[in-house]
Amino acid sequence: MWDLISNLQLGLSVAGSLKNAGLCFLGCLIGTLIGVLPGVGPIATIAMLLPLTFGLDPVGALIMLAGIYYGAQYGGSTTAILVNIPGEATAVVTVLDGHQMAKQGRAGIALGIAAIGSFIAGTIATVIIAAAAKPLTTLALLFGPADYFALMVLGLMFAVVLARGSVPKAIAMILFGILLSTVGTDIETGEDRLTFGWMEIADGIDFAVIAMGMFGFAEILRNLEHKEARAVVSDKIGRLLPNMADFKASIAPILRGTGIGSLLGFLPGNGAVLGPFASYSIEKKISKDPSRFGQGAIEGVAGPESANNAGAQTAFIPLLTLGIPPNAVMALMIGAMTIHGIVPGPQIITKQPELFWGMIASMWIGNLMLLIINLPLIGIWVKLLRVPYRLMFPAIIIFCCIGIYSINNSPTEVVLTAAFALFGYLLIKLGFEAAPLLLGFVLGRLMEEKLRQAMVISRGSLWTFLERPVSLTLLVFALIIVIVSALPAISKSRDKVFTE
Amino acid sequence: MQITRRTAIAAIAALGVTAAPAVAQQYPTKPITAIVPFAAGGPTDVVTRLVTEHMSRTLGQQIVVENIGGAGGSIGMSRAAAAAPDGYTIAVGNMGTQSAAPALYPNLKYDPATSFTQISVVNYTPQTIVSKKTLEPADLKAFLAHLKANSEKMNYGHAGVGSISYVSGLVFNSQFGFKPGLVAYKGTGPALNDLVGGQIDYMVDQSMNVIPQITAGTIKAYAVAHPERIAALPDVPTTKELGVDFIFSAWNAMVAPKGLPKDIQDKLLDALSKAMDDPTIIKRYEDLGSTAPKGADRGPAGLQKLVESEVARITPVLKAAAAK
Amino acid sequence: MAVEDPAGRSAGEDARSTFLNREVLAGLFLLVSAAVGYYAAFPLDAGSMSGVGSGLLPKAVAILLGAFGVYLVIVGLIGTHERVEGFSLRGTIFVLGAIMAFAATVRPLGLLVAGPLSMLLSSMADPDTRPMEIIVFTACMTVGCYLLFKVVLNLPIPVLPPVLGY
Repeated sequence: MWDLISNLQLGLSVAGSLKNAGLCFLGCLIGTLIGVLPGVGPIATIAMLLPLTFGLDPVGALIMLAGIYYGAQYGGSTTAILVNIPGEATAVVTVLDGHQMAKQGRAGIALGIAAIGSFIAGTIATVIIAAAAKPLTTLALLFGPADYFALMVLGLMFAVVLARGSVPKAIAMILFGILLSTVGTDIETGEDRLTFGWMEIADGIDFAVIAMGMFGFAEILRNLEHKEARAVVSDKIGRLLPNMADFKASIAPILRGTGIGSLLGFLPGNGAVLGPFASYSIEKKISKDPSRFGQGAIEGVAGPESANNAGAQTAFIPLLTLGIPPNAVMALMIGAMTIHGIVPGPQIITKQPELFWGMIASMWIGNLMLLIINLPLIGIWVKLLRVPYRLMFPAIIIFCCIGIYSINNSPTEVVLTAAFALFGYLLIKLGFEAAPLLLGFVLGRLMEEKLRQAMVISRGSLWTFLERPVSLTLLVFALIIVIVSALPAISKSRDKVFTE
Repeated sequence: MQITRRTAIAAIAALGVTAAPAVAQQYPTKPITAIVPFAAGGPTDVVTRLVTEHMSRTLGQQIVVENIGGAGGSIGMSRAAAAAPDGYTIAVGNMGTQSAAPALYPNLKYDPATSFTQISVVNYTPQTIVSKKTLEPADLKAFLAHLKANSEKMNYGHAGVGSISYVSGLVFNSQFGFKPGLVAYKGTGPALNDLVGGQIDYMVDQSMNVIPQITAGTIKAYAVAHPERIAALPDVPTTKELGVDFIFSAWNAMVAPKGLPKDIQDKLLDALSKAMDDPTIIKRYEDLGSTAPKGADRGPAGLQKLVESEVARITPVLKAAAAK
Repeated sequence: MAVEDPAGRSAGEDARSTFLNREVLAGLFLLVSAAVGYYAAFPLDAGSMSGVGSGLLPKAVAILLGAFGVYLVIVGLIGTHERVEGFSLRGTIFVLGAIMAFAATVRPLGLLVAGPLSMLLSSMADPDTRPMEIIVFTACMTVGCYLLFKVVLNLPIPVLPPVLGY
């Protein structure tokens, strides 16, 4: 306990210095900016800003880069809520109810609760990292490929709950997503799969390409159909910030989301993407009136946003304790550390305590700054919604095009996005939903990878999934979800929504 | 801010020497793009950023790193090969893109030996033979014997077909006749994670990736596949001193599109040489378990020789693996 | 730009159909996609249990997808369901055209050409567009994008045609 306090004190003294706090603020500001810009992800930005940090000391540089990372998570939800574009897998869920709220003139409330929820989640997650980073790492290492596979199966069950319409159509979309996830070079055999010989997609289709095409652009196409539909957003602007009643409705989802997000975030292998999905599914399941979900339920924003931010913070655990990156952004952070002459690894805590604890303390400071940056911005964002749609959509298109181009500096990806826009528009017309497809896409890739690893390791024995306690538990959970979903009462309530 | 100021200074400088006859004397007059055919943050990216930052200072122009990932680096290198040979596009490939790619990608749009103007090897990273920390054998000889007897029950982890750890693993396993289960991961991070967690048994990977885990004792190192010990792992013996015939280094190399004027090539090589001789960069290389090319190995001729010999060594092993 | 109903009824009056309704079309769509997926995965080996091949998942998923397609067609044929209508042809052409134009011009001509080109093209998707307004707006946005992406974020995106120097 004393250790923790003295360590945090050390961290705060490092992160709280005027220079580092300033860098943290700068990072959060840039992060918010790029998060708001669709497509421009933290990877491209951190890579481009890396040279600017050469002149800084390593601690300051890393604090700034970390600020960009979680700032981008915050900013991403703004775009998801305002214009229906999820920049990252974790923002897909925010779109569902967040954009509905914006359409109902409650954009400010959605943005506000997202910011407050994220702050609470970030604070709690920071404490968790400070107090339990080491034991959690040990725990995470027990997770083998078989356990991951089971986790992904469980995740796919969430996707069914996610759907607001027909269940068979939702399952079909999950399958479609999995099919799309298999496009690209097979990592085990090196074969080209479903690429039709097209080298540009040899590494698979980028998530942002699908998300932006199917959500952002397809939504524009749909809005262009009817004049009435798009007037809705700009007419009503309600309260700017959440009130006590909103807060009361959100606090429990925020805390649950934080718990779920933190738990999934520290698993190496990017378990963090599951957090928001899991949180949404749970909120919808335990809600007295699940039919409100997808129609602008505030819990559907508060829970997943908190899970997202908590996961973004605890994803630093494997990086800080093992020096092993759980996702591409963290890999870039490791690269940045290396350039600054720090070799990240398990010894960083003992050898560079001021860096380790400084980073952790900066996370909390960063979250506070994000709240300070974002709450006043809400007014501006909501005002942006008043821009006439005839001007808004060309602006969205140009931002998206530049953003997608910047992912890989490749025009091919821009063309692909256009294809997915058409595809997404077709799906809307046919009564399919995009969210389950995206979840299937994200999980499909991980699931196949883990299944094949598990099968090689067990030499083909399926028992491996039942012998391992973790995987067994997760599979039992998945089974329970299937049974609960199949219960007639629940399917009836879903039909009601469907025929609405 | 910095960039605009530098550009302005360069522009003024360029105006001042308009009387100079050769274009190359003015080179460079605008920022140079360095293509890295992998995602930012990986070993090739890190090394490129280290040296280009120094080279920018020598050349008086910013070198902008452009990450073009995809198909084991072959997409970015294809684009580099097709660029104009004016010195404003250079690229840094690695052993995979400059030696293994022709065997892995039948539709490859470039030939590593002939499609580029070679500049120089940027660094070598020796491979290290590592295992999960609970594996019993105490030294390399015992480890090899253990593998000989049990390899069919053991698992080798690699970062995907075409990655360095895949190629070095194939060479290692085929040379000693081991037949482990090959567990494919998407990238080095997850593979290393499962090695630390004990889900897989062993790997042969770039020392750069495994040094922190070795020094922390979370994985076991048997040997560095290199003639001399590396500074970052002074206690780990080399395969050579243990009398085991397995030498394997990954490397990164700077190239430009074919047809680059000789004087520009010299300017770039000179700037790169200065970077590789800089004490800070030498120190960074050491921390990464990496070494810079010296003597005849440095420069276009050394790189050309390396590319040709590596293609000759790796291609048969990859072809044999693909035929299986 | 709503596609006219063949029977001449206005949308909403009777937007349901027993044949070629939304469910049937959705089912057919899945069947076609499944067929394409299976065809593309056909040469891939499904492998065995201990060595799951690259073809297992795509093939299995394609078959399941096809099964759901059949299910939706049957469900659609049994009852009456909504029709698919109201395609925005003008919107689709100009929006997708604008994106493609951006992709085609960004590398050879740079952001300062590709940006306004795609904005102006996409603005034609909306009949409400006012020419003067969109031209001024495009000019401002182009300058804004340049400042934002090039000056602030320093992204490696071409700005002008390479022949002009930068």
